Amino acid sequence: MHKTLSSDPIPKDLVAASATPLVLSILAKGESYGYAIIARVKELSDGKLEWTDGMLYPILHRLEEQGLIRATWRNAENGRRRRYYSLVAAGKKALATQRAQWDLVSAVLATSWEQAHV
Amino acid sequence: MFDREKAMWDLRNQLATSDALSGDDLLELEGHLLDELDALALRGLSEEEAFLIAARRLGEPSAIAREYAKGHPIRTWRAPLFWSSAGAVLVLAGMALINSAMILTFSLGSRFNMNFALMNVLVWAEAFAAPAAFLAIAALYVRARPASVPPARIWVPIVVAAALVIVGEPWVNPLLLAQTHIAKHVWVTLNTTCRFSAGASLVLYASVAAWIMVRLRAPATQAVVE
Repeated sequence: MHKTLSSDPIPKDLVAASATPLVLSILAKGESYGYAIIARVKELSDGKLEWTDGMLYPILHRLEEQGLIRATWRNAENGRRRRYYSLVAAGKKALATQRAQWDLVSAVLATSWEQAHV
Repeated sequence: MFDREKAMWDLRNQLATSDALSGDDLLELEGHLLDELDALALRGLSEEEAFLIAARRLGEPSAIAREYAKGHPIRTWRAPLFWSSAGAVLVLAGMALINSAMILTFSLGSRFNMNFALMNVLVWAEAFAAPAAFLAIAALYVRARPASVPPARIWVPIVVAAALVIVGEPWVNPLLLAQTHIAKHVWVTLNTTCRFSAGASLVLYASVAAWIMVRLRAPATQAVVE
């Protein structure tokens, strides 16, 4: 029964809400670039979190404007120019805050479900 | 035969249309697409199949441009403002030219005791030519639909240029004023001793305005990626 439920696509607003903390946490492991971030999300979610690739970049640019990440252009191994993103101190702090909030929401849901015997 | 370079170029142009993406942004998306194409080619897909899938995963160009525009609201106003000032400068330059010709005719006429028939012609030319030129330029602009102006803002340059011409008009010519101010124009049509001129230009205005409205309503043709 749970199998059929989890095969439903995750609704758009949930995908959008989780995008920022997900990007920040991927960058917390080290600098990366758009294509690799999307590949990592696919890998982490077993392909269940579906992003429209082009939508990631405006998110990255917004995070850069907010001063949470830094972007630099460099040549990749294959010779292509690539914009690499890395987390800065403010980004680490934002990630910690967001993580605490998501943990709280998740804990509240878990307790509530436990009590309701779902 | 599938032409990958052309397909990439077409996609790039569609993304560039709204002006919301900078050159760097386009380069970044292009790099993303190339990475994706490489990955799909490794899985044995043909160039065409790979491109179709990569473009679909990248998303609808207009939707992507909208997301980018949210972060850069000012960028999308640049092109409309450029066209506004270009149109206004053209019309004002034309009016200044006619005005200079008028002054020249007047001074030459006084000196050589000519009659002022040419002067009258110029007064009328100015009164009709300036609004007519403005409408012609506006019509050409709407017809061309510059790709850098977002479709939703296509009307902006016309309104702004009209305002610039009215404000920038360096002197007051009652007939010209009547033709640049619609409300006054209606008043003049009802009251002027020269109903023919006012009526004629009113018809001119109405027909060109109607034509522009029809053009604006026609859906912009846009190539579809898939």
